[in-house]
Amino acid sequence: MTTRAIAIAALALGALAMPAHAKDYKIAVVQSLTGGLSTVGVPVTNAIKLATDDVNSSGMLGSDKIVIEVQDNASDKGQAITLMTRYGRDPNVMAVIGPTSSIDALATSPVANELKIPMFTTAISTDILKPGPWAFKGTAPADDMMTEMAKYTIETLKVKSCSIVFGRQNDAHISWKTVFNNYLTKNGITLATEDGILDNDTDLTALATKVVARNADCVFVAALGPQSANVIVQIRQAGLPNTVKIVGTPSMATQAFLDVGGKAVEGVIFPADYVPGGSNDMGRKFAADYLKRYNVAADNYAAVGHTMLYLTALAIKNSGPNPTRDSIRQNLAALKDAPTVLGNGKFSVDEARLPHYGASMLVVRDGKFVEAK
Amino acid sequence: MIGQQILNGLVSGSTYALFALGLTLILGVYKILNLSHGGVFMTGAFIGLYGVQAGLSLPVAALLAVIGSGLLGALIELVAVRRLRTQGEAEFAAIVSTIGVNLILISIAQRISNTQVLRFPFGTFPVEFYQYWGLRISLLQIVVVITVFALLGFLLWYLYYTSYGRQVRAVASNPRAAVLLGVNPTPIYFQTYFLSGAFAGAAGILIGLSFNSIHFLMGEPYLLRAFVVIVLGGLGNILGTVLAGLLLGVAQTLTSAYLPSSLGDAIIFSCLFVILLLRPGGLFAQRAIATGIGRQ
Repeated sequence: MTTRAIAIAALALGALAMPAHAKDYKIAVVQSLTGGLSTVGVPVTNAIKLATDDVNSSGMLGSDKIVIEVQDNASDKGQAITLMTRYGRDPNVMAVIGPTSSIDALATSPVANELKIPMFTTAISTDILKPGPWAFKGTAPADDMMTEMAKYTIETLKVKSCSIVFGRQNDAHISWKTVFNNYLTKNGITLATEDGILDNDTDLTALATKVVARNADCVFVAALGPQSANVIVQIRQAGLPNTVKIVGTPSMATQAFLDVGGKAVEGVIFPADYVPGGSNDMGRKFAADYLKRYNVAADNYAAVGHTMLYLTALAIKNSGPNPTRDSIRQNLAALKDAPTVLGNGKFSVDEARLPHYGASMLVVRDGKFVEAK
Repeated sequence: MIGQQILNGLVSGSTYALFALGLTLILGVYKILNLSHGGVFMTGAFIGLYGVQAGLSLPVAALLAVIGSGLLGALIELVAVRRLRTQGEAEFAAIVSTIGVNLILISIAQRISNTQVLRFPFGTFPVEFYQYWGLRISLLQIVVVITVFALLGFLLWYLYYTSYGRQVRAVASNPRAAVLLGVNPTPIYFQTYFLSGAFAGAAGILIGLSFNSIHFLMGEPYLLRAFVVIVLGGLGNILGTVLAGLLLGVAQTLTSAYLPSSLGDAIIFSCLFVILLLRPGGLFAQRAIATGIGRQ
């Protein structure tokens, strides 16, 4: 009896003397890695991987680690729902980062709310927040960005009429275009043309001829970065005078926009939630690390991906020693001036769970993005 | 503006025709809808781009792309179609197998390009514009139109004025009878798929140059339009394909220019249904007798 008591006591003391087990916090990453939205999903995922390594190596969570499980929903909302259901039912998964687009996120948000798992998405639509408190956006609302762009177009560029070209398959581009159009029309600016294009349209000659023929003194382009550049190249080739102002959206803040557009995109002005190369120390480190790891420059989407993982890790940290899905949700909703590579470097979430991080107005000058005055 | 838009439409239509020529060749000869054609087209553009980036001149890179795409086409015949054909299952089963090949090609290109939209380096082809009667046309657009008609001429010559062409038509007409007459179908299949792939590669290079964009999904919209072109042109009708391509290009351009852009495809496909109701064999079905290579 005495021997057994001693053995138990020894085991108990041994257990007390051992360091606490490091925990792994599993986060599911559901992104469009193939299909039409992979141009967004791939950089988002790349940046999430990079941010995961940064968080783990920096000791941000002490000896605990973030473990990510990446899944491709193939730009398909059906697959996104399946994956959200799977991870929502897996008690080991603390949060889901994704899906990529508003279309997919609108489909998965009710599932995330039903299964009570935080969902953090790049979707632009604010409607993804309506099903309940478990959905979060990593991107600023369209109003934040495009109202600034519209004001700048009227007050600084002093245009009187504008032609509009927008990607009609993408909710972000439609939202940005709508905010911009509404502001312009309310302020008496004439809309010369309004044309939607598909994400994989490349032959834009008919559209380009039409835009040039309308003689507007501004062209607004809301499409994916490389496609925006292609629109601008083709309207320039169709004879658009250099005096016409070209303005756009945060999608243009990508190296691909400069690579595809070349000299044609000189002078293009747009609001950006990420300044390529980074606008603060965190952003500069992110830009350098991303370039080193993937051999391509980080773009807007990558910056949002980095932010979503980092802020999820921060919410886990702020949850204390025993984070739960609910504590992560509460801490995501309570974010205020959290560090980010986006905008002014401070990420806050308001009462309506809308994120805010400021915007910069950029212009392309000598093949580089610089702040527009 | 309408004159300029019609000109734009003819150039766009030339690109549709260029893409559809290879597709209609396979359809006409073997009654196989080769759904990997978009992938081969995209591969041609990628080979040309990487060739130029590696320091090759554009003509050499283009030649490499044409040969590479041709060989890829022949490989697809060997891997994804031949076995099905020998079992008599090719017409339907090849649709599935070529979709699979297309997905593989797209996945590889996506991996290689890291999902980026690419373009030929600036200055690869001279950017020159000419103005005639108020119409603006670029040197590249002129080259595209000339290339389409040159390839059309080559294809018609090949099919109707060479011994290989006679063998192709013999196999297309009746493979068993052709074998009995001493035609070995294997090199015929190889040649036809090679030609189809080479045409796709040429289209990939020219369209990549023309529209400033090379992307792993670039074949998809062209494949969809090519279906319209080959149906309108009379299945397997080479000359009809070119005419239908030009017609589609002009129609699509005019709908984009004068109607809400979201209605463009709806109008085009509605017209297609009306035409098929009136002429089920396509607009140029009768011409198939003169220039078609398919089974009548």
